[in-house]
Amino acid sequence: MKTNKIILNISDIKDLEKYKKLGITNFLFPLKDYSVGYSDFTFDEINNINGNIYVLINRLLTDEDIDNFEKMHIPNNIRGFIIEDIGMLSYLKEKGYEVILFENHLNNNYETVNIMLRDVDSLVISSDITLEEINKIIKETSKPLILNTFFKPMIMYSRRRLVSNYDRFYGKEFEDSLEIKDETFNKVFDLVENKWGTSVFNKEFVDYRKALPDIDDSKIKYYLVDTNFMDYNQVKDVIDGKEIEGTSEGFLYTKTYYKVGEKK
Amino acid sequence: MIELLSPAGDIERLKIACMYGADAIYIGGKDYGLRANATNFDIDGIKEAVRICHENGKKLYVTVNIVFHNENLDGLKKYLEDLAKIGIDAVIVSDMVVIDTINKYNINLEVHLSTQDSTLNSRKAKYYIDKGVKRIVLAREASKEDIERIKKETNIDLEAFIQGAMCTSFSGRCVMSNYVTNRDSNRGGCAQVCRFSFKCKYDEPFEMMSKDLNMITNIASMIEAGINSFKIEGRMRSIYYIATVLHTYKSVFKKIETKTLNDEYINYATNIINRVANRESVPQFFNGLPLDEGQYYNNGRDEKSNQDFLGLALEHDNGYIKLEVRNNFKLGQTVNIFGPNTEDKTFKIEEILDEEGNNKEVCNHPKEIVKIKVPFEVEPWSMMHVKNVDKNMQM
Repeated sequence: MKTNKIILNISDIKDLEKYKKLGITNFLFPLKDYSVGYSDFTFDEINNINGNIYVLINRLLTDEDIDNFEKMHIPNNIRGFIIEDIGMLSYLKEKGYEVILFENHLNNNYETVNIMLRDVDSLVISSDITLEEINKIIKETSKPLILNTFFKPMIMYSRRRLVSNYDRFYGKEFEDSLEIKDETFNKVFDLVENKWGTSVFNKEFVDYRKALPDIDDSKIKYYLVDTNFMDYNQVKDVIDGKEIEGTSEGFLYTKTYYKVGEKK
Repeated sequence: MIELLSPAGDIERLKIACMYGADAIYIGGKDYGLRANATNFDIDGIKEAVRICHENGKKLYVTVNIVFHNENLDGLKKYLEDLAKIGIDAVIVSDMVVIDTINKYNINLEVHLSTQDSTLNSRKAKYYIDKGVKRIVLAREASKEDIERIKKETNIDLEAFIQGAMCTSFSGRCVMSNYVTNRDSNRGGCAQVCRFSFKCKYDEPFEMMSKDLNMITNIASMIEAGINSFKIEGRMRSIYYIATVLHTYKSVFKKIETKTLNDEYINYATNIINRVANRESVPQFFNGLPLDEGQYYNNGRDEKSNQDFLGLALEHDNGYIKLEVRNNFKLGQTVNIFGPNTEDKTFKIEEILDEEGNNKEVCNHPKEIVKIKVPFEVEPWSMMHVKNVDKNMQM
């Protein structure tokens, strides 16, 4: 994984200079009031940062949200936006920004990816599919794509404020995150809540790095490393290619099924 | 145009939906639908469904709303062409590959954008209108203001859910099932992990699922906001559920039309719906973000199936109904019965005969055919049920 192709989703702006010293030049900042699940930043905080600066808008938006966005002053250093809601597309294209589509859990086949690429500049490959499926998408699509490479998967996004609803009902002190566990399947999840909803993350990090030799690097625009839930040293270990314990390969080698009797 | 849109998991449910007031019905095919483990319809079944619907003046929509993987692409074009030939009225889709295939091969199918795409704004609606979409099934999270704005900016047909189970997540934005059970939620394999009870650092179990949706109190406002099609969730629900929900909502629509809807009827209708659904249902998102009252039950969660549905009336002859038994009942019991075009009526069972004409005191064999004396006319396909909700009953 070449450092010039890594894009870091930033969770702590204090670490930025250290990342730059590691050779990282591509940064993604979740935008305050327009993102869920991550530490978020205002345009003022992002203003004047050097590098290839992208902004993450991963909320599903109302017209009022987009109206408000259109009134905002976007700093000159912003190169592009990674968006979940295709409703943002027309304004961002009109303003000349690079637009990368990240409809989490959608766009799982090469034809759909190619169709969406007629309208956007790039797209984040789904992390719900196998390596074989990823390679087929990469082979068949017309533009370089973004590969989520090291991340804690956001496996659900609810408009509801699930943590504070629990706290309110049981009279607990309000908090914006909570770890929950399903004891039947022994699965642990991290819940992160803000004003706009709740994101559920699978506890275990997903690490695609070992699979990278099997993926055509020339068709990858960026390797996305999500620093969410990690400190600087852990991120550095990921960038340095060190082994990280307790990770999984997600669905790279595990196909999902959907009809009773299909599971072997 | 106002449309009451019903689910149907098989031909029997579809016939019931036609009879009980649906203006349109949506079904899933054997492939490409989001209820992979429902009975669903093969092409011949869909053909039969179209025939029944069109003979009854109803529309039929077919869901083709999975998130496609590479392996699902083979056969899509032929399937869409087959649906067009059969003469269905629309497909409900979420994946752009379906829309693009319809456009590319000029397949004569109207496209409705599924709620899986979670449309909350008019810009997104316009994006899909440009691709040929004729109707948007809104995100369940859409507020009244969101709906009004989308309608104002696009004037497209809007469809909204009014009754049934809710996803905790924005639809389509959840793969908990994939991570916990390896079943793909966006291809119809959802294991409903959000309905599990979870441990956390506190003693009280953490729950994230919501109460069911029930928009009876907001139907008039939804019409004003611009909703054209009012959708009921539940392709896997029973005929009794479908009949009861359709019958209740149809009454609400009629009362709105005749300006006779009042709080007493709304309360009565809500109690009926809650009873048949086996869990509480409440309005959600239309008037604001639901908080804990949209999720948590003050008296704990209780979703046991009731046995209210006593039997299906097959015919009425000379003061007796021929009834297919569904749950236990006995002589002397006071029960209710409602039909496709008749209000719920109460009567006491004073005579039960078996098929040979012998007197019976108890009916406890499902599917058994019996005759019951009834003191009024009963339509075929009426539903006899436990007398469970009084019009004066309060929540």
